[in-house]
Amino acid sequence: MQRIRIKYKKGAELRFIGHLDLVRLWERAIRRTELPIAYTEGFNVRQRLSFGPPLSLGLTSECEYIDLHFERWTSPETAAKELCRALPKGIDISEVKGLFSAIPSIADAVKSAVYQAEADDAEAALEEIKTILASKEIIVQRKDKKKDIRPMIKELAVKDGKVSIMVECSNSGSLKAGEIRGLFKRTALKDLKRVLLY
Amino acid sequence: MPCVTKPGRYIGNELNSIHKVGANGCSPLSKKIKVCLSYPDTYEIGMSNLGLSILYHILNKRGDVVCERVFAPWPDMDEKMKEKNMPLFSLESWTPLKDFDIWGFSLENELTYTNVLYMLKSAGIPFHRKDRDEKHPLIIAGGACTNNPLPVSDFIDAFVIGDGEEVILEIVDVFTGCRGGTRSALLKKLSHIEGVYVPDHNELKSVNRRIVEDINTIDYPTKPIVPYIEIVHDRAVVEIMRGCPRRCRFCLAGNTTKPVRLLKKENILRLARELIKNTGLEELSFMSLSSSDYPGLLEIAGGLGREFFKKRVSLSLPSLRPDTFKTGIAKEIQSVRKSGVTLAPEAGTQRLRDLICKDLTEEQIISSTRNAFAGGANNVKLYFMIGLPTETEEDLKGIVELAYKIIKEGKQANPRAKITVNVSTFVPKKNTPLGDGKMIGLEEIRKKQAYLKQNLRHRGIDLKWHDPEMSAVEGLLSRGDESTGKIIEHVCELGAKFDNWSEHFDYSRWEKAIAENTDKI
Repeated sequence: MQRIRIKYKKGAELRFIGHLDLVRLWERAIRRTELPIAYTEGFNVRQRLSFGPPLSLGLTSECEYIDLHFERWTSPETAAKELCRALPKGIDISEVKGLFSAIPSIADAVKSAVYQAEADDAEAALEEIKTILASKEIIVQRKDKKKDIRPMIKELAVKDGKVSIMVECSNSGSLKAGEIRGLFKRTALKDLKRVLLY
Repeated sequence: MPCVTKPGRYIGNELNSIHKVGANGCSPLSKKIKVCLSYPDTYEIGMSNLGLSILYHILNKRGDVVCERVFAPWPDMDEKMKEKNMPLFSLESWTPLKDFDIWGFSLENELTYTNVLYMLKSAGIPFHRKDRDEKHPLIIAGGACTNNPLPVSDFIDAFVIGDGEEVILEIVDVFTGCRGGTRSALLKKLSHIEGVYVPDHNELKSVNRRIVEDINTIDYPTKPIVPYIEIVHDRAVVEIMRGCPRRCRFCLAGNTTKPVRLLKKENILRLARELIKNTGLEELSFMSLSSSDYPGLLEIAGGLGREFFKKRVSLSLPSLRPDTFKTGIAKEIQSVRKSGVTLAPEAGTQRLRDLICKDLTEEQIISSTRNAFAGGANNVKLYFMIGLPTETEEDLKGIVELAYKIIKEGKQANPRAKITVNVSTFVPKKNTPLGDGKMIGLEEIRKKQAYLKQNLRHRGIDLKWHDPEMSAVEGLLSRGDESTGKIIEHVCELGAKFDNWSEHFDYSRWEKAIAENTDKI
């Protein structure tokens, strides 16, 4: 079985489309092509797709990933071309490559994510960043548990007038978009988007 | 926007949605007629309506028409819109509804009437047609509820009675011809169209139901909109038959969509293939009032099922009569995903089934459910009504006994067999043979439901019932007359909206409105 990995952008048109709806959107787009997608066995038959970490509702992204499993060898370029025709506005494929079978799934491979946002006042944001980085712990409420998210923040800075933050994003834990916004008490973050996953 | 539930309801831009020069971008000199179609409920329910999808397609095919959509905003969105002083807008171009020429409502459920007023209010358009003029959109309505349009005739300028595919274009033509004239002249012209009831100009009884003689002439959309968010009926639909050869005496649909018209086999196949190719949907459903009465349908379905297996598209065939249900075919058409099996015995005893002309014997019911379970189904849904004319405790006991027999036989065929017993309340509908019958009162509904709840206790049986108060209101609205409009308006003033959602339905509002406006019920 062949596996190809697609990197794509999720644009403003689709920022209110949640993860489950996005999965369905991909499945339907693939069904509109003639690509030899592989299916799972068993009672509830599905296309063999794997996605990266879900993006919070309301965000755009420069760097989403999806792996497609094909039954027959298909040139990744051809696949990308066919998919481009079938996908709705708001999904732009930026890279495509074939994968060796040993390469781990996106969900397993990804450890961190970088988010970027506009701040209305970059200098004030910089001041706040100092406070945030200086704090020993930052407690947030998650359902009925409290969690210290300070260790999950790996980098926080202002770059080119934009707030840039690198956070943990993996199977063992991820920082949510709302929690990133919540770090800033005085600065409002606008147009929060995911720009890197690695 | 992110702070409302399901923002995906309001963003539009779905695959295959049609964006002409937005109704917004039309210059004042533009001759394009701006039509907005709506279903007075949420996006997920409205987008599941085939009629709306057909009319959207037919209207947009015309170069001189822009047709867009709007659905009822959920109360949290409505609050936000009020805060921002934003009137109700269309999905495609975000044009305020009051800037459209024609606003069409699909009325399929009486409990959505309050939402019609809720939406008019949100759009800043007066409720009463007598308070509107040429500056306001022409408000029209069609759909199953126009069987009795009188309760909403104060609010709607013109009703389409019957099939809408041809009439809608005639309405647009008349509208074009009357541009610049008075509203009254327009309404008068509209009242001359066959199948159109204009409360201002003609008598309801003089209006003949409009019928599309041959449904093969209908320009069914082959590129329907594919929603981003999950909707209620999230599948491609082919209407294989309009009308029903059965003569069940209670049934509104069967009695008001005569005659039976079949879609030709070649058209079924063509539509099915194009729909799947253009939408990529994972399920295709054949729609009709009684699929088993389409000759040779199971063979068509079997062939398509095998063809679609390559893309794992499943086929569903609702409204199959149990007497045609055979194990082999059940397996064939549900080759991908096992959908449930549904049967509607409607009444618990043979006497009552015979009286309502539900042509089904107990033996047929038992053997077909046994077949369904043997064929691999784990759940069978059964539909019954309470409150049918002449019903006695014997008939309720019949429901209980029948359910027990079905589950007992079913368990032998499939140890995991379960049944769901759905109990609704009979509402006599006008223009049906049982339309002049009495509807049982609230107390009696509660008593009969209590009997079933008490006696249908079994691990394999799941009992579901309709809210008694909602049934009572449905009865009032479907059998009402012009004076009922006052109650609807009063209820809306008390804040009623989304009345077919139990979380929003508040019977005390209705009681109050009824008490203050009539001495009925």
